[in-house]
Amino acid sequence: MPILRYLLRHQLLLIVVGLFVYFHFASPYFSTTFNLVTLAREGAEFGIICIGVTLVLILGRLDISVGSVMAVSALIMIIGFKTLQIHWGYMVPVCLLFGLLVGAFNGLLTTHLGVPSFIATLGTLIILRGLMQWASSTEMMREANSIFSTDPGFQFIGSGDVGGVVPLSVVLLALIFVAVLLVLRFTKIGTGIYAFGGNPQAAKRAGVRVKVIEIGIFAFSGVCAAIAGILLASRLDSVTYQTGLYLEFPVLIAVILGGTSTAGGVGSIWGTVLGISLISILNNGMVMTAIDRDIQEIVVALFLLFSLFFDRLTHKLSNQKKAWKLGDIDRVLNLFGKFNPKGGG
Amino acid sequence: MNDIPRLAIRGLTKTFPGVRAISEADLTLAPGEIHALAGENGSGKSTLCMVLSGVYQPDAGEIVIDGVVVNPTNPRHAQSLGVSMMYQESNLVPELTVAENIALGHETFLLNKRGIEARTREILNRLNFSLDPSAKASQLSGARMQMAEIAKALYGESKIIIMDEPTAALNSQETQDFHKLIRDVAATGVSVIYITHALEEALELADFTTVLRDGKVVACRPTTDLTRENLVELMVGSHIDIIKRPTRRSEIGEQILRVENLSLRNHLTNINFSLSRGEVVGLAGLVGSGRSELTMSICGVVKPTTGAIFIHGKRVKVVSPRVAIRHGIAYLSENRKEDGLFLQLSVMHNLTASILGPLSYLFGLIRRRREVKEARLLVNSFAIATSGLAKKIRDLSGGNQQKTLIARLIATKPEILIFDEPTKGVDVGAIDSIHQTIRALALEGKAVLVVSSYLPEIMALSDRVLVMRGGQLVANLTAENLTEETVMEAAFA
Amino acid sequence: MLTLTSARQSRSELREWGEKNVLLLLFVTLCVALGLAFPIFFTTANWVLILQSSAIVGVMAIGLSFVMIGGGFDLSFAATMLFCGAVSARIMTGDDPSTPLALIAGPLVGGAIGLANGAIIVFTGISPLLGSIANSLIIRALGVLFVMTTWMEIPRNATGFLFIGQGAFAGVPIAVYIFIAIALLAHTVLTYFSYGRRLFLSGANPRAARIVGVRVRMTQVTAYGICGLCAGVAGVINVSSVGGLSAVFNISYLYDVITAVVIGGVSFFGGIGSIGTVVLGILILGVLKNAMIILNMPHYTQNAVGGVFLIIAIGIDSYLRKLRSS
Repeated sequence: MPILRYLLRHQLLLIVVGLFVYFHFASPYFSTTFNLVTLAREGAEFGIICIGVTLVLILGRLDISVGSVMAVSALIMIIGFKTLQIHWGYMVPVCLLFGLLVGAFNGLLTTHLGVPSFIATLGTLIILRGLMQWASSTEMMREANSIFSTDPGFQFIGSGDVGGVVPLSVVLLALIFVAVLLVLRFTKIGTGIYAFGGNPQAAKRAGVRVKVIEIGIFAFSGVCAAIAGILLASRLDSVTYQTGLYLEFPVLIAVILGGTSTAGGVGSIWGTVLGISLISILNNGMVMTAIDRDIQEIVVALFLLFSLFFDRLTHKLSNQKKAWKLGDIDRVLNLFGKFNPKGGG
Repeated sequence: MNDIPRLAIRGLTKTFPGVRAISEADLTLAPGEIHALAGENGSGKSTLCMVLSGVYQPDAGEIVIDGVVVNPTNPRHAQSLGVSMMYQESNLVPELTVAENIALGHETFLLNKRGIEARTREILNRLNFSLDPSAKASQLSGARMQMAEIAKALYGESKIIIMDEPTAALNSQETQDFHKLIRDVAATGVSVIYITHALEEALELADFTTVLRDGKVVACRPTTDLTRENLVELMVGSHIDIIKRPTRRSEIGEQILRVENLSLRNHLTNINFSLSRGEVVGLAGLVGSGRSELTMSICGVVKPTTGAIFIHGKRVKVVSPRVAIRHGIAYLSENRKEDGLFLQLSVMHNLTASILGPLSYLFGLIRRRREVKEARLLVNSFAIATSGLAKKIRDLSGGNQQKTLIARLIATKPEILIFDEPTKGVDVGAIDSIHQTIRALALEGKAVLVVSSYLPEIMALSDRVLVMRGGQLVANLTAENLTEETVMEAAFA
Repeated sequence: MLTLTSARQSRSELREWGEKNVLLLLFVTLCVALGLAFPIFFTTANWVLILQSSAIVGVMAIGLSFVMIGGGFDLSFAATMLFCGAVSARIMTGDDPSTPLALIAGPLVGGAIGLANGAIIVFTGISPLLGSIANSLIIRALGVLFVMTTWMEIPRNATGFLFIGQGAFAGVPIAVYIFIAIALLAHTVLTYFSYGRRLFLSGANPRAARIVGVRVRMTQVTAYGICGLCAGVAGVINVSSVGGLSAVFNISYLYDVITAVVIGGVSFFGGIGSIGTVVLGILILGVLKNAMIILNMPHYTQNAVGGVFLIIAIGIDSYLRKLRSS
């Protein structure tokens, strides 16, 4: 079904451009360099998480713990650096390790216990959010948030520009993007990911190391969220309970709109980049034009519905196309989506 | 041929809790030999092959490949030993290309795309397969998918390929082509173990045939020494006429169903036919000729693009199966797992699923006692072997499951019954029972349409035979010109 | 082959019985263990506490069970509960408070929201999981925009309304009676009425159900409506018991209901489930939460433990399923 997806991606580009133009005229503050750079920074943080989740979705799974992983990673950084006075250089690997472990834990749950990925990552989310709740109520947290950090290195992470021009977070996003692209296109792992997402049984039988790949992908998603947490901690110099709350929804929207199907086996990070742009511009623009928070939520939710519907439509159409070819009428009759607990649904 | 057999299995035994799936099985295979494995459902053929391909570990016995004793611990290991298995379900990943699929699992870490493509092309050429390595697997159909799967097995340099019902979803022409492929593959020295339900296929294709019954090897002979009757006898263990000639043909009454100008875009063109009381009409044709699409269109499962359906002379719009039932049409789909059985539910729930309306009071309260009575009645009249109504239907055998579905159909008291492959995957014992039922239905004055890919079944059951080809109804053969040859001619020509 | 079938049959029979009774055993064991460890456990006051908090979760769990038996899934019930609670609170804090109206409007609005949610999910065919998440965002946002204010307090003199959530009869909270009534009603519908049967059919095999003449989509949408209705009831009880409504979204209800349903053995795939086991699941969860309260665990730890528990519950269930299918 390349045609429709191509169209969708082009439509996506048009929507992105259209939104940009709209907000440019709707708010005088939108197109300022300052705002655009902030947008880029926030977008890059957001985008790094999206890339991790894209891989999870291609695998046919779901990871809704990313927002909370990011929050706790930021928490670790803030507490470690500001409260415990440990140099941030040492905290970075700690945060990354944390993300890796959480991700690996999610992966172990889904591979060895057969827990549906939605539930597994939901459980992780609950636990981590509980942790955030506790932490944000402590005196230690309040203190840490009220100190301004003066370390230029630390500030550079989240707010610095490489070569004075491009924000570091954007550079990181680009590096991760390229790395993932290379792995997907040019290594056995990449083929294995798509294979497992497209036909898990075939992949297993062919000898693809499905368990290792799955745990690895979840771990990677955790690491991405951790990186975003580090960037955010540096940029905002603080962390609250609200950090990363409900972030999973925009992430999913960005990835699904970008053409990655919740059914697995299909997806490209190029599309995700467009999705990231869309969500970032949308969020930023809505704030700039002072749209009511709740209306913002409705807009985001409608976008999610829209993207789900479109995903379903392209799936249905591609199944229909297949049906005509194979003479298999049953797919044309695809009545309604069955909840697939092992994946996105 | 050298003396060392490609494969020798001796005394292989595999037991699952409570049941002995294979018992002391022996098998020998020469290089380049095509060996058919025949037997009823549950005879152990699949288990034997899964042990060979590393999915299961045997409890006793040994496997010797090219003179070396081996013990495949998992499918990957088995592949490295030279054994690969082609399963019934598609083992291809739709979004990957043919080449990627073929090489799946065998790639180097850093993909050598050019190398993969070259090697793929070499294999495809060697076997004369017309496949484009860069095409997406989702665009393949039928025999081409099988080609890709065979190429996959060969990419891993398999010496033994096990095929599990590979032609189940192919039409006759494709099956013929596939047989040629197998012969070509075997000619290169690869040995093939071929599991099949279709006895004709085994007889036609294989050099040797092994028959399994209840987990034991009952025979292993050169195929030329066997006939169909031999095979059935060996499989079932007693002399049974698979298809008994009908004892009494029923009176054919007035026309109940008439179909005019029925078309379904891309599948059916201009179908016209009718059914009358008391007659059993067979619907023959190759797989893919549109028979199932036709039945689905009449029964409301699919909406036809054009056409009219008349019941008792009055035009009806059958827009859903619900409406069809209301008009007295009953439909048995050919996929009982997907379209028929409620596997998680009990036998009783499955039986009464179609008559919930009549079984309930005004606001939906179910008349429990009526329901149990009805269900028991159905179980008895159809001789469904179950130890109770509350049994989960997935614990029943295939034949009994099918009988349950048929019983459920009859419970709605239909006038028109449409059976799509009623005896598919049903053991020989139950087949006869189902045939009796069909004839009895006709005797009661119902109109019955039976779709079947099994010619002797069609011949024995039908008063007349409709033949489809390429989405069109090409023949309506009545008693005078009804022979197996005329049917085949119409289906093929 | 006879041995094969009957051996398999009696094994699965045993397993069914075992599964049903495992929950009961677990429940009894828990109670005994907790009772021995904390004498306070078996006091009437404590059990009133357990039952009262279980009632709200329980009502929603029953609603969700309907949807899941039918093959679907719904995450919007928490938002619906909030919305409907707000509706009834709005009525009671308005110019012309009317208890009967508030009590009826809550569930009815819930049912309407449920139907709309279900219609969107079922008729477009999108994933129920993600679709209901999206809908829940919309419901909550609409609620905040049009119905709620940050804090709505029910006037003290609205004794009728407050009686529902805070009153008791024969020592048992009214909410519990409501829960029991709903549980009995649900059980009756599922077991004795054709709608319930059709729901099971639709969940077990929607294609086959259609062929047998079941209106699958209608049946499923109705289930979503029932779920919304239950959420509405839960919302009203909640507002009544708290004495008001705070617009903060309490996400713990989501986890609790899902955990209860999972422990209660309702299958994600549809076609399997029974109110009896769901009630046991609710009670087990209630007892566990109670234990955490007795142990004086702070709120966030409770949530965290709840999360762990959910994982364990599903982990066991999935693992067993894996064993079963291999």
